[in-house]
Amino acid sequence: MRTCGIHEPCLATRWKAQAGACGASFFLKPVSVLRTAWLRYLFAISLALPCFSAAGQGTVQSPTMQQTTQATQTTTATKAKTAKALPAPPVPEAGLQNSGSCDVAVDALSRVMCTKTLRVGVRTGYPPFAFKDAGVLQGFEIDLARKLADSLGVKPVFVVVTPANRLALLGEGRIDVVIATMGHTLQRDQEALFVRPHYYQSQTIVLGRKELEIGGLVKLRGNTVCVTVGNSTNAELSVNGARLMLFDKASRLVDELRLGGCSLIAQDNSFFASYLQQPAFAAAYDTKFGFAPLPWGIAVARDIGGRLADVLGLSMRQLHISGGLQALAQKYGVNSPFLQQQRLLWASSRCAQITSLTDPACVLAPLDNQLEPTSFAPLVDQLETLIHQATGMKVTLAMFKTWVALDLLVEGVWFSILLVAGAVLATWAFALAFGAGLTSDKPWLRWSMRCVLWPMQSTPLILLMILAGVLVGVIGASSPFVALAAAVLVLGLFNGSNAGQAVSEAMLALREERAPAQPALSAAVYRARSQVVAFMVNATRGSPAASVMGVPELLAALTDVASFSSERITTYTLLLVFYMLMVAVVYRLANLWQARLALGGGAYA
Amino acid sequence: MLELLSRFLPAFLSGLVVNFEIAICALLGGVLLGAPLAAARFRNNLAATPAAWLVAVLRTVPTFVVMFFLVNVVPASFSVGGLQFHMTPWLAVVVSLTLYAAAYVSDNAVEAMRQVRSGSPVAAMLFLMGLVRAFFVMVLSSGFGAAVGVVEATTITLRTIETLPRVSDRLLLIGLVMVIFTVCFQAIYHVINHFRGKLNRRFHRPLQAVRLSRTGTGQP
Repeated sequence: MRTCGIHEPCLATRWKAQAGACGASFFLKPVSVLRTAWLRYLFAISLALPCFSAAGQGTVQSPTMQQTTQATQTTTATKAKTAKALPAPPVPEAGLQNSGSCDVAVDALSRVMCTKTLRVGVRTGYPPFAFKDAGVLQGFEIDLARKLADSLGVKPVFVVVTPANRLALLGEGRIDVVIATMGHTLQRDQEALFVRPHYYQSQTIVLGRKELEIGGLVKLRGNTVCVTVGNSTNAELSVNGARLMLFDKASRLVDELRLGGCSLIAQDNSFFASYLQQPAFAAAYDTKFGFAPLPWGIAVARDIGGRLADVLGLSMRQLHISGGLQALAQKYGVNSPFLQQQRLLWASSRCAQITSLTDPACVLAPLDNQLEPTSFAPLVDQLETLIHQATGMKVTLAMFKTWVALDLLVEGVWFSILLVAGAVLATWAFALAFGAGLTSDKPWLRWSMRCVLWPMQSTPLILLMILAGVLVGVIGASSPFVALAAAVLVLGLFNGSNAGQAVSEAMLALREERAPAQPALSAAVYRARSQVVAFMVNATRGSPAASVMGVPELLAALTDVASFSSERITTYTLLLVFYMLMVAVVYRLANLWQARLALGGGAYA
Repeated sequence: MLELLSRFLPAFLSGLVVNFEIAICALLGGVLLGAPLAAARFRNNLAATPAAWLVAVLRTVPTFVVMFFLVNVVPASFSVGGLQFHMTPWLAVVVSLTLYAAAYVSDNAVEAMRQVRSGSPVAAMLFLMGLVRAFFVMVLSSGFGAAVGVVEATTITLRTIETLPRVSDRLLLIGLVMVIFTVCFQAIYHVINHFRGKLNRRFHRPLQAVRLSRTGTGQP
């Protein structure tokens, strides 16, 4: 194959040579769908045009030509300066040698053809898609990149990228394509051009021990699912009533699953692919269900990658039809019914047309995973900046930026207030009931009260919450208000029984002191008032534990917000301040109540 | 169910060991933090006011939320005085219970010191009994760790419950665990109360009788 020569004798010869050199390699193989000769001819001309342009700029120029191309060179120089601001990824020597004759800023395809290299941004450490084995890159995506480079007749050069820098490197022209486990979303469409058709489709799967029976997303209410922070699909889990436990890394999810800290974990199915290939893991755990399908695509630069995307699209279609992608998937154990579906789809008469690469019936739509921002989100951004400038602290008020987060926050605050108020009142009511019951003249009542009191004093609160959750499930109630009522009952019983015991002890002491007179219950409450107050405050402090039985109070709400907003420091700090204020308010009100009792102390005592 | 119990009970007991470990560490931390605070409050010196404020703040700390705060906000690895720590869920539970224990120790130690000063040594002994009771309360409270992934007795119970398809089996298992907890802890509470009563009879009542005979009043 020819390189873009700089010593061609005349422009006509050069054009002819470039057309043959740059167009032929990718024209002959994948363009078999262009059945008529004139269509092939037009297609060859359109693909060759950028090569002519590149060749023209790469030649030794006359003074006149230098003047006319000055503006273009200035733009290129500016881009080169921008590129120097970041550390350069490894660039192939061959590419550097040849790039002098091609202008990389004009068209990605011409750059590839002229330098005979396809710079592919790939990941490592993500088996079976891309990983290093004995220092050599391997995997489904690596082989796919090789096949695409072969179809262009060029050499693949791999540049290791990360999810954080892959699009930036593409935008700066340091790589030609990205094949790096990248989901195609509407938001990424603004940053890069995705090649159609897609080469894989992942989905978020919920995985757990085989004994667990989970019917689907809607059956997840009340179950705890361990997730990684910042995953956009977490919002869908929380909306369906799952309790989320957050972790930083996906690998920790698997560790926690094995250690028993998590019974269900949710993550992209591509992440679990290598685990599920291990016989021991596959024997113990299985996939419960999947949701939020996400097509994975090859991306090229948005401004200069249009033609490269077209050519790669044709190659991709050919790989689907020929079963080449399925063979690759089989080689690396990537289990995906998606590839079989795509093979059938692209082999169908409708998708065999040249226009099918833009036909919505043939290509998949990108996933729209952006949450709707609130109308005042820009103001929140300004406030964050203001706080940062004034205090130096980086505050992120994620809960005010999207409607989903704001709804969760408002609901959480209301439920927390109702929960605390209910728990305090229930504690007081149960304190009176247990105080009266434990000192009753009727033995059966005293023993009944003791039978309730002892387990309440000896069982972890969280287990009582779970018991209440199971009982609520038995009666078939799934409303958050039923869960709230059950939580109030548990908190009231747990704290009220202990406070009631203090009241009963005070009553017994009063009876001993004032025998044979019978003191009133109010006198016993007055004497045990400090303990009653202590248990009321304790009920407030323990109220966030209601989140384990599905009450959407503030802890549960803000955990959900943190799960999809990636922000935890401000969120959990605000949560802590909120509950400390709640405890302080209850403490203050309880002290006022104590003071009022003391004022009327003569009547009680 | 019997087959399940043969697998569940050993795991449950090993989980209970974790609960005791957490409670021991939290109580030690509480004593180390609460004792100086109590001393500062008792002496009424310059440090008394800040110490009283700190204890007031510690009293308002919701253990459950603090646990989540520590797990999510504190960096996974951090160093204090040259020592490297990893903020694991286990440590988060210990620290959150330590804060609770510190407030408890401080309040009760101040009261005990006042009683000792007024000539009632039994109050100091009752303080020790109170610590033992607080320890067992913290063993139960360490069950909160289930919410952040600590594998302790409650977590093991929850994981087992989740695998039971029938509601009746679930209720049976929860009931069994409650019975185990109730029998063990009520026995412990009775022993504590027995000793407390013994101490009371031996020291407090004779002392009260002497005081009453001196003052000639029936009001305590």
